Amino acid sequence: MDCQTARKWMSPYLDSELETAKTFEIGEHLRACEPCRRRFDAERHVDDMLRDRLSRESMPPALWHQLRKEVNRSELLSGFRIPAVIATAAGIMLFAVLYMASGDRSAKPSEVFTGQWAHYVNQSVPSESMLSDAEIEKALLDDYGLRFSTAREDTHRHPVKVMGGRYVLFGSQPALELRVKCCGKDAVITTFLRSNAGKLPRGIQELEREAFGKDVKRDGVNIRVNTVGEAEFFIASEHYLDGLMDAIQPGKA
Amino acid sequence: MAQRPAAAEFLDLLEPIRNSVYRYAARMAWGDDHASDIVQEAVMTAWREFGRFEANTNFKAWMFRILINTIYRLNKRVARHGGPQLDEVHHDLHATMEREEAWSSLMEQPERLREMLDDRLVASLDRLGTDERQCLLLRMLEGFSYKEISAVLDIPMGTAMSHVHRARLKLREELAALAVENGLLRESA
Ligand SMILES: [Zn+2]
Ligand SMILES: [Zn+2]
Repeated sequence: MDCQTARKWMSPYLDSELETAKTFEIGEHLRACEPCRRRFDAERHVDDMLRDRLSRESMPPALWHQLRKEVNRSELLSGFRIPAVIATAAGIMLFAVLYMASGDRSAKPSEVFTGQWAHYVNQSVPSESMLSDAEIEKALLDDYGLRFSTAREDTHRHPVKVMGGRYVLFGSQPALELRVKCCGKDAVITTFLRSNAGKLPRGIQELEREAFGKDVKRDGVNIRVNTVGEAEFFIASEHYLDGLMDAIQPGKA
Repeated sequence: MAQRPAAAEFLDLLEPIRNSVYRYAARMAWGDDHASDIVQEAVMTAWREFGRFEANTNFKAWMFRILINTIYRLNKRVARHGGPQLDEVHHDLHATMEREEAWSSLMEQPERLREMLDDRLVASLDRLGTDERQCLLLRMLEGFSYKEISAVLDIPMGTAMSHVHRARLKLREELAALAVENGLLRESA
């Protein structure tokens, strides 16, 4: 076999897709021909580099949790396969499907944040979409490396109470939403991975910059953004935010 | 087995390939923030269709078919990002052979190249034509055989093979050009 023929078959050879005879012939040529050997090795290096680089990308844990939850939930609620629904955006579609499967057609799907802060904070959330306390704790820790502290010392002696938590789409990004109460006021803490912050809709990104580390008012609601480790969160409430802020702690002491 | 909830079965099959599904969507999506949307829709579609999946056949190939259809459909809704696609490989054999030698010697210090080209590599990949990029990803990253690629994409096996081949050629040409640009490689060594 000559060099040109060997190189013509290089790609399927590297993919181990040639029949035995041809593989053998090329192997023979490579043993005898140093330039070709180096050339094949170089190609293998590029493959490896690319594979290495691309394997670093993995599904965000919050998205996986959310998918698992939605699949389980839809089976639980409907008892049969959910119907196809036509909707404009994939995120809306997902929740429209769940909403139909839930059988509750009087309420709008509440899981998509629409940018109306007062409504977002004060809406009543159907209890069946809420996670259990143990699930909240696990999701906070496993997905975001956080824990929530209701110890009085951590919340400026305010009696913060966790009412529930659920997975939501915040803008287009999967997030964990904690609903808490303090002094009779509702508050919402929406947590997502910092690595996803750049993918939030532009309006939310602008607010994120404005409210980073300091209070900003929208629709009469105080909003503040902060980060802990890999996690980022928006806190929104009519209540003032310092105590609530301190309730979010790094997961590992 | 018959009593086992379908959701658990579906999720057990999906879990080991979830990262593959995500990164494939990330590389094939036109919009930058589009991968999560695509994955969500593809997974929920697969779940709806799960009754049609034949037990003990290749779940990954089945899931990728749905994923790829979802990508085609949803990509139409967003503007395409990224620059122009890579040029056709020119087949001046002499020049190519010369460059290949230089390229091979460069590859004797792969770490240096790796450092320099890390992100450029992905950018180059993103600029391959859709057919070439998807065949290369399916083959190299996801380990599909040419036969499986042909089934997943509904194209002849020989076409799958030549897309992979051409993707490799183009990538190498592009990387060699980048290396020249960065002074790692003299044009005609
Ligand atoms: Zn040779
Ligand atoms: Zn209070």
